[in-house]
Amino acid sequence: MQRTLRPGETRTVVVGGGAEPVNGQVDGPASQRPQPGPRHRRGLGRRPEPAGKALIAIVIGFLVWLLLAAPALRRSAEASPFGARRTASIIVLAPFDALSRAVGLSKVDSAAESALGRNTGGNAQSNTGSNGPVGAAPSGVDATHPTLPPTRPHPHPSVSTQPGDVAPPPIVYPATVRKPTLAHPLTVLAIGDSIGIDLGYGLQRVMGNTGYYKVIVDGKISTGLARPDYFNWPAQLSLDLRRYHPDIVVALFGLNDPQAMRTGSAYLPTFSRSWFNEYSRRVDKILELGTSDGRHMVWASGPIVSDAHLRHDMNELNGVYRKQVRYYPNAYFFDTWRHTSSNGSYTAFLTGPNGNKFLARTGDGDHFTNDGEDYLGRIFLREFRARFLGRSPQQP
Amino acid sequence: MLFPTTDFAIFFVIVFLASWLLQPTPVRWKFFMIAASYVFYAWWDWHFIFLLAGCTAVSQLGAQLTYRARSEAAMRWAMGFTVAVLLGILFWFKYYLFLALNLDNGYHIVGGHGLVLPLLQVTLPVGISFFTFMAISYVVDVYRGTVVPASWLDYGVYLSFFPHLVAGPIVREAELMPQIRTRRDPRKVDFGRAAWLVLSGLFLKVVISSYLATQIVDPVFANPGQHSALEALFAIYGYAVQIFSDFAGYTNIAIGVALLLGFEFPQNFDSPYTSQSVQEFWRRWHMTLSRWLRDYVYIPLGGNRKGSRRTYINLMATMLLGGLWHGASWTFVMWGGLHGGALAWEHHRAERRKRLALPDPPHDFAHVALRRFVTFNFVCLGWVFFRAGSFATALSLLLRLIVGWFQSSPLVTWGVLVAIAFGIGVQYLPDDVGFRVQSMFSRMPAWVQGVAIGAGLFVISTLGPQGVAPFIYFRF
Repeated sequence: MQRTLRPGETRTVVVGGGAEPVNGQVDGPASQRPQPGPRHRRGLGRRPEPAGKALIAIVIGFLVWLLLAAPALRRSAEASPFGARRTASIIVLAPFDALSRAVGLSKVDSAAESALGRNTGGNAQSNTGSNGPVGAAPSGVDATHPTLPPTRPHPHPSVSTQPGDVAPPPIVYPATVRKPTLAHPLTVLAIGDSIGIDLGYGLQRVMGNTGYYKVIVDGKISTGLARPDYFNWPAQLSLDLRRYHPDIVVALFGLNDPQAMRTGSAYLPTFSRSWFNEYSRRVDKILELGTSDGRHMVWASGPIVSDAHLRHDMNELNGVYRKQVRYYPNAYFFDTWRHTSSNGSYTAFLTGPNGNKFLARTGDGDHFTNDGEDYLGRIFLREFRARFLGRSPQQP
Repeated sequence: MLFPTTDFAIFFVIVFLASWLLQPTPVRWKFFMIAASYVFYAWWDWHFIFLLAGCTAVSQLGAQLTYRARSEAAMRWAMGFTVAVLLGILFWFKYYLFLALNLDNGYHIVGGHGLVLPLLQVTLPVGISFFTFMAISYVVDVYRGTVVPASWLDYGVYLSFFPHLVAGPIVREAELMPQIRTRRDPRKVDFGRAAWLVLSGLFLKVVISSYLATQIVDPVFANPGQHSALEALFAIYGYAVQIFSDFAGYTNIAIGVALLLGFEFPQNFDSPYTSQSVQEFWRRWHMTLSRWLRDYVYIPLGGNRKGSRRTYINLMATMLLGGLWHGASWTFVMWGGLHGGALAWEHHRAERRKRLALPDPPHDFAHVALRRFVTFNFVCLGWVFFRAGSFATALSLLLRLIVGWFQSSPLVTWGVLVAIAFGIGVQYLPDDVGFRVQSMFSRMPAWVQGVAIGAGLFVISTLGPQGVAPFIYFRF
C-alpha cells in the first residue's frame, strides 16, 4: 500500500472520460474497452465566455420567457392554492402579462395553445385515458365561472356538516343494475383526482379483467371540486358521459379540496359554514350528472391518510359526501376510509386474500401502491356485487 | 428542489452570481456552496439534511482513521467499519421494509403467527443511493491509497455539491476534488455547451419523458390486460425512451449547471440505444454507476482473473447488486439478473470465439443493424421488469404481446410514435450537430443568446404538461 500522496494530491485525475483503475485491471461489465470520452471537443470552435456575459444572457432569457409565457404562467399561478405564494406569483407576473398583451406577444402563447388543441379558458388536460382537451361546457354547466349553478333545483335545502342542520334522509339502497355479460359488459367510468386514478386502476385490473366490466379511468392529478377555475369537473363529467355512455360512475375526490374557495367575488374560508354549503352544492352537481338518465353512481370516500392534519380534513369532506349521497336514490357511498384503516388508525400495510401482509400505501402516506389499488378494487367489486347486483362475491 | 421549476431558476441565478463573486475568497465560496447545496436538499424535506451531514461526517471520519492507521489490519478495519455504517444507513432507508415484508410473509407461509420484524414504512431520502456510493468510494480510495483525505470543508463541498446531489452522476473524488481546490476563471465559462445541455435536458425531461409517461406508458403498465399487443409493444418502447429522456435529461441539466459554475462532471450517457451488445450498453448507460460497480464490486470479487466460471458468477453478482441498487423489489433483481445473464453469455461467446480463433462478427450495415435491434429489444425486455410494479404486471404485459393482436390501439397515436422516434433518433445524430450549435451559440452576443434561451424555454414550457413529475432516478 503506497503512502506517497500528500493532502491535496490525487493519483488519478480523469475528468469527463472515466477513470482507469489504479491496479491497471480493465475488465468487467463496463470496461472491456476504455469508456468513450465526452462528445464535445474542447477548444474546437466553442469560445469560453465571461461569467458576466453568461449571467446577462440567462437573465435576458428568463425575461424573454416570462414575456412569451406570461399568460400561461399567470393562469398557472391563479390555479395554485390560495396563499402567499400564489399572491406573490400573481403580483410578479401581472406586469409581464400586461406588457406581453400590450406588445402583442401574448398572441404567440394563444396561438401555441390553440395549435396544441388546448383550451386556455380554464380546464387543464385530462391525465389519463385517451381523452382530448375539454371543449365548451355542456348546456347547464358554466365552464368558466367558479360558481356552478345547478341545472335543476336542489331536491333539498343547502346543507352543511355544522351542528343543528336538518338530518339527512335515511339511506335508500339503489335499484339493481342490469346483469353484465361477456357480450355486454357494464361500462364503469372512474373519475377523480390522483387517488381517484389509483382506485380507477384497481377497478380496471380487478373488474376489467373479469370481462364483465369495461372500466374507463378519467382522472386528473391535483384537481378536485374546490377549484373549477383550474379544472371543471362537472364539464369534464358531462363530456365523459356523452363520450363513454357509462352504466356506472365512480367518483373519488377530496385530497386537493381542503382550500379556500371563491364564488364570484365572495371568498369562502376553508371549512367555514359558507364553504360547506358551496362545497355540498358542487358535490350535488357531480351527483346530479352522475345519476342522470337513470345511471348509477358510487361515491368513494377519501381514504385514511398518514398526515394528521390532512386526515382531519378528509374526514370533514367525507362527512359531506356521505350526507349528499343520501339524497340520490341511484347513488351509493363506498367507504374507502374504513377499508384502508386499521382499528380506525392509519396503516401502510394491509392483509391480502392469502393472509400475507403487503404494502398498500406509497411513501407519501396518501396514495396507493399497485397492491393497494388491487385491494381497493377487490373490496369495491365485492360490495358492488352485493349492493347493485344482489349476488354473492363469487358470482359475476 | 426540482431542476425544471421556477424555484430552481431563482435559486440558481442567485447561486450563479454569488459563486462567481466569491471566487477570490475560496473559503467563503466553499461555505457558501455547502449552504446553497443544503438549501437545495432541504427544499424537499429539511429533516434529511441531518442525514446528509451525518453521512459526510461518518465517511470523512472513516477516511481520516483509515489514512492514519498504522497497520494494514487497522486500515482494513477502519475502512470496513465505515463502509458497513454507510451501507447500514442505505439498508435501513432502502431495504428494511423489503426484508421485513419478505421475512414476515415467509414466516406466515411456514405456519408462523405474528411478525418476525416490525413493519415500518421508512421514507426514502432523495438521492441517498448516490451520495452514499460517493462516500463509500471515497473511503475505499483512501484505503487503496489512490487519494488522501480531503479537508472537512472540501469534502463537505464534494459530497453535497447540489448539481450531482440527488441523482448523480456519481462523481469520483479524483474528478471533483481537484476542481474544488482550484480557483475557477470567471472569464472562461463554457456557456455554449452548458446552455445546450440544460435546454436539451429540459426538453427531454419536460416534453418527451412526460408526454410518453402520460400518453401511453402509465396507462398500459397500470393495467396491461386491457390493452392491445400494439399498445403493449409501444408502451415498452415508450418506457425505454421515457427513462432515457428522464435520466439523460436530468444528467444533461446537472452537467450543464455544474459547467455554469465552472465544474466539469463525467459523462453519464453516450447514446446507449445504439449499442450492439449488452456489454456495450453498459459502457454507454449510466456510465458512472457501471464503472462504480466495476471498481468497487466486480474487481474486488475477482473480476475475470479467476477463470471463466468465476467471471460469470462475478458478472451475475455485480448485476444483481446493480438491480437491487435501483430499488428493493424482486422485479429489480430480475432486471439485474437478465443483464447479468446476458453479460455472462456474451463473455462466454467472446471467449469461445477467441479459443477457436473465429473471425470477428461482420461489420456490414445489415449485421450492425441486426445486433442493434436485438440489443435494444433485449434492453426493452429488461425495462418491462424494471417498470412493472410486480411480476404479475410484467408477465401480463408480455402476454399481451402474444395474445393481444387484432384489437384497436387508441393509445398508439402519431404523437407517441414521433416522441419514440425522436428519443431513439437523437442517439444516432452525429456528434458534430450539437457541437456546431454550441460553437455558434458561444459566438453570439449576450442579447441574442438570451433571446434564444427565452425562446427555447417557451417552447419547452408550452409543449410540456402543467406541473412536472419528479425524475425517475430520484427514487433510487
